[in-house]
Amino acid sequence: MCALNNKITVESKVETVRDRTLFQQAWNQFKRNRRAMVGLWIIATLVFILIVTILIDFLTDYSIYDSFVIKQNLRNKLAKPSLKHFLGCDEFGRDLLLRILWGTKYSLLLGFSAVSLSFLIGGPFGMIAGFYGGKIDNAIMRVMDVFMACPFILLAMAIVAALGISTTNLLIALGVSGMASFSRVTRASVMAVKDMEYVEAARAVGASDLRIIVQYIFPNAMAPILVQITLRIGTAILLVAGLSYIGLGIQPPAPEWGAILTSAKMYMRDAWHISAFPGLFLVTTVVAFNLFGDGLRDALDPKLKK
Amino acid sequence: MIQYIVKRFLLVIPVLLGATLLVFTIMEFAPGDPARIMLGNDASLEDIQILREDMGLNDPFITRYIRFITNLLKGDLGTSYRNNLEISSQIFQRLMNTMILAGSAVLIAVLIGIPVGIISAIKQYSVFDNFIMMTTLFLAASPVFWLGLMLVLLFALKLGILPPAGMKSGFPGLLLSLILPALTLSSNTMAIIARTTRASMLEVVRQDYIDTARAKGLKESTLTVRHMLPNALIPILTVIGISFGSLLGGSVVTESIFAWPGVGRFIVDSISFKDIPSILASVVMLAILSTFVNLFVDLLYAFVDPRIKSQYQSLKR
Amino acid sequence: MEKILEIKNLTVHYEIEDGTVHALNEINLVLEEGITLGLIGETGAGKTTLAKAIMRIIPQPPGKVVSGEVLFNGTNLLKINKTAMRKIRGEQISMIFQDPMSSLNPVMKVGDQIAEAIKTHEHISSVEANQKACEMIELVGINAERMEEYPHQFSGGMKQRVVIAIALACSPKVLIADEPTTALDVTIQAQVLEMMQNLKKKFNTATILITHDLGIVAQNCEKAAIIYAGEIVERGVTREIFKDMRHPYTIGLMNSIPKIHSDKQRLSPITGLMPDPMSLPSGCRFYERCKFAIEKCKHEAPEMVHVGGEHWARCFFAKSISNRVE
Repeated sequence: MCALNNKITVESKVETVRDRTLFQQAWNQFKRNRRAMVGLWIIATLVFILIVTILIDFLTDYSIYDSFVIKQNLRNKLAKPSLKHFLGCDEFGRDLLLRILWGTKYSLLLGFSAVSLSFLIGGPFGMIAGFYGGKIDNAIMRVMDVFMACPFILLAMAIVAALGISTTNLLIALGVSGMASFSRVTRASVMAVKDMEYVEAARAVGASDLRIIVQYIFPNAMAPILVQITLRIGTAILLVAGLSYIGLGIQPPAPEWGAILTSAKMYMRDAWHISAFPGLFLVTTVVAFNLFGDGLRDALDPKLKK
Repeated sequence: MIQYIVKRFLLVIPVLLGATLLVFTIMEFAPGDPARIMLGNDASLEDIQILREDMGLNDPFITRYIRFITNLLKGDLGTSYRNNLEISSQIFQRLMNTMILAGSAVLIAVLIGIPVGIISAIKQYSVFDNFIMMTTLFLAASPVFWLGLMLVLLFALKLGILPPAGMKSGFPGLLLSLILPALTLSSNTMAIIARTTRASMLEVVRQDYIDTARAKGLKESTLTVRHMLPNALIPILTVIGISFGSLLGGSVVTESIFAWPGVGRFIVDSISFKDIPSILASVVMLAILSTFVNLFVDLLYAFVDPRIKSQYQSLKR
Repeated sequence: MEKILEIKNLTVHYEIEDGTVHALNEINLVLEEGITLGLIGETGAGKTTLAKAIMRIIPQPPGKVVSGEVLFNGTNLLKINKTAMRKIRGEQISMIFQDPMSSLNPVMKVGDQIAEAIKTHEHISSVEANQKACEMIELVGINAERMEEYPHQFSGGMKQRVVIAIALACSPKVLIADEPTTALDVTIQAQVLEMMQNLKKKFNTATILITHDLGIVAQNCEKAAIIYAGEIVERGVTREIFKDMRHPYTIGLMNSIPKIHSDKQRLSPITGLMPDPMSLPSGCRFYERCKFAIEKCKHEAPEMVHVGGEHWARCFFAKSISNRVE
């Protein structure tokens, strides 16, 4: 009797140690990757900027936003970078650095939301296709093929063209266009996990399909999906900027990075700073997400352990 | 083999139908009455109704869709709202221009990306390799339109050696005006191809058959060209195929920057004019183009990888 | 008999991020013309490293030949220039690798791969090279029509035959076979080994047959050497070794083989694992797992002891131990 009790306690202790170490392991692995940490830091900084700008707007009731980011000050028109205005001013005399900082929230929030939407729509389809296989899989994948036949950006443009230009429509457009590739990733992930023995074991004990999907397949298939999400945020951010650039996304005077670049071309000869800096912010952000995603993939993939 | 090609062609058809249906459905959501737009706001309700009947706008969705498809097959892409002209003639030349641009971009991406990737893999961890990894990281993350702006800034405005916009004709005008837009458009893809080539080569280098070949006494260069490269190319082909879709998308923005008279720019203009038929026709044409390119890449696989070739040859028997 | 290959004091390290892997330590081996030498060892003992070192195909970072000589007909292979070494590879010394499934280039026809070996070393036309390749493939028991096929169309055993055809295409003087049959079924194993025996007789090729299977060594190798943790621990004429083992490791290996006729209830494995090649003990490397070990073995590393004839063993007790059945 005593021996049995001991055995149980030892087992549960082993399990908690293992649980802790799995996440810890991944985090330790991630920490060692210098590039991934750089990515993480940049993202953290951007999120910080995001929160600060939103807070300021909230607390000052947009007054700072209006007077510095929106209001025109033609005296400073196209001012070059200086001590007073670190990145110079745009064609309406507005401080470029402040505009760029306030533009962070569009890229981050829209990028993240678009990808989440794609995942929320495409993910379940992929999981069902991967889990059930056969005719259901075929049918769903055919539909996804159709979506993927059309280049991503064109699909988004068509949706925006049809529904009209607004932030909501932009989100819908990006979410819907991107769902096909997410369905593929989740499907592949689920298919890999589905054949594992612990799933068979669960089935043998009589677990329902739904329970198996939610409790067994989902947590274990999440790793590659998480990596995909991170990597796609970068793509989404570029798309938001691109659509805004051609006038289909966020409209000026909102300081979205792509929108800032729209008029930059006209003033390129005298004011190259308007073209250069917003783009640099875009590149850095996307690079950060890519590095972070790569680091995440290396840390979560047990096969890649040295 | 022919049977395989035909089979793949047939498989593409439902996808194409689906894609056209998809775009058609999306455009259905667009507000506005085409008849009203054509006749102007002052037209009477009666006239509008008559025109609607004439144009078949009151027909059910399926009928209109089928009509669209049949017209498409006949080469009739509809009439533009903006200028009341046939879209087909407007698009045709533009499609050519876009293909020139996208084609050049693919060429540049492949001609630079693959060798760079190979050298990077052979000289792993060297200064060159690290430099390439950094550069490709940034290029792959850069927005196409920003790169375009930067390139124009450097080459057209500061250095003044290349035209900043427009498509010239003739030789060397065409070539000169093509360089900057093609380079811009190719940059993302070039970076991805370089990275994929490098990863693929690294994967191949570790394989046993490379040891077998080396043990035969082959020169390193022969090893690289005859044993490593053909095996490494297969995933690279996949990437090229996938990239073409994003290249077509990227051309939209690139054409805007460089005032390149292609389909992308046509779409942007049509959107601002709410010219639904033009948008519909353009997007559909590009989707068809993209699908055929993917099909071509798929077929190329069968030629490049004998394992796939025999898979489909044995299906014959 | 002429010595065709002589390895003297060969030491090879791998320098990696976490430290230095001492893969081979002062290896001494001799191979005579026409003889098959069996190299026995477990995974990680250094067998493949030795084979690759002879062929000079160890990747130079991170691998490093610290010292020693590999004398082929008197010439030190480690010192000649790259071009000269390339001429030797495939023509004078050939190697076949462990896993036939991945040893052949998947996108190249099998016939072309054999012909390539020939064309690299003999200045003959493509047509003639193909002709010779045909002959080789028939020699290994494959129909010449299959020259136009790709590796994936062959089974494991057939693939290995192709690999052997490639290796022997230029009638090399030495063949290094790294576990040529490990990845094959037992019946196919027998076929391939028999074929190799016939070819050996025909070409008089000296062979180093790397394996972990004592049975294969007993049947095919005139001489044998046992390698453990990067060192040769026993070598000599196969029959002498098998009759009278003098190193605890070899004895342990022999005892661990299940015997059909014995009444034993439990197998007797050698307990423990090979020492970490990055932190090798200063004394005898087999100390941890040795049944005969004494305190001295922990601190002093034994040298090779001459036991008689060509039989040497690396143990302080070499002269006194013998096969002890547990």
